Amino acid sequence: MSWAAHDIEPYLIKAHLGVAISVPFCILGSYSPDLFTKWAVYGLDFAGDKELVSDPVQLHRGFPGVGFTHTLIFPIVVALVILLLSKQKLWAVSFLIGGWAHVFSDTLDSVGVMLFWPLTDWHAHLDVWQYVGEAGRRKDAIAYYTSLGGAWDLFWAGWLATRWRVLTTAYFEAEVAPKDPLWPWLRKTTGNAFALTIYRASAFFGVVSIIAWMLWALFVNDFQPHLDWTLGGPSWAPRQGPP
Amino acid sequence: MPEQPPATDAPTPARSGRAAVIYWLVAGAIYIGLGVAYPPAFLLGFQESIVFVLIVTALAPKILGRFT
Repeated sequence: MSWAAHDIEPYLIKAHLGVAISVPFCILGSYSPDLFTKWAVYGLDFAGDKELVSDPVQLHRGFPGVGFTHTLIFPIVVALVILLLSKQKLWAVSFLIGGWAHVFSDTLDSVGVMLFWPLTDWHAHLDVWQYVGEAGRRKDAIAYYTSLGGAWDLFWAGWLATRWRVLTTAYFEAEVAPKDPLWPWLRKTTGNAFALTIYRASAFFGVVSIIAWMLWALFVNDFQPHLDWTLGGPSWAPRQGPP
Repeated sequence: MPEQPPATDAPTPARSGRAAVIYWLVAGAIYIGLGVAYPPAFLLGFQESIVFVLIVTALAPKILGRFT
């Protein structure tokens, strides 16, 4: 799984594809595979001591389970629902792109995703880092941010840093607000500061959480506080393949 | 002699842009500090950052106006 890459990907997709993206719907699509299930994977507490399910991997990425949320078909179905309800092609396409970005990002871990479900439950997994979700949120954070997962997130944060102007008020006014009907409605309903907040929050959180988690994993946490950028790492984590 | 343009205290775009970048870097550093100190309250999801980002966004015109 990826941690903060999902927060940042929509801004870079917007920066490179221009007008064809609604950032909030792209973010929603990017979050959607984990939106209602990640808490059940990790359990109720930060340490992972209060488990909710006996097989979190099966739940998260398998079927039976909610692994269908990590497939190519799931964002298509939800995008069609958005299109039917809103008649906004921009929102539907943006959701689809965000959802697919999440699904493809998650092929990088050792469990992977059922890309072509329901045709097959075969998991595409590139094993760049270990899936450690079953160990709870705390250990997953340590494993992810000390392995190549952390490097993957740093890559996205660094890329966004080179395109930081997409987060400015001027860019929002010129390139974002006039091209997505969501913004005039949100501004009218909640005010300009809140609309700008909604636009920026995911990018802000993505970048600062990557840095904070890495600092915490390396200098505050005392369980395996060292980088392990070997392929399939970290080496201390139990091997976890597809369910 | 050609007439010199009058001196002005109006902020240049470069100056106000620099101030905005520094402002957001400081805001980010504060949030990073909070997150490192207590991850469960600040680092579990972007919804945890919305109030902070809203405050920083709302204060930006006032604070940046003093430095530019």
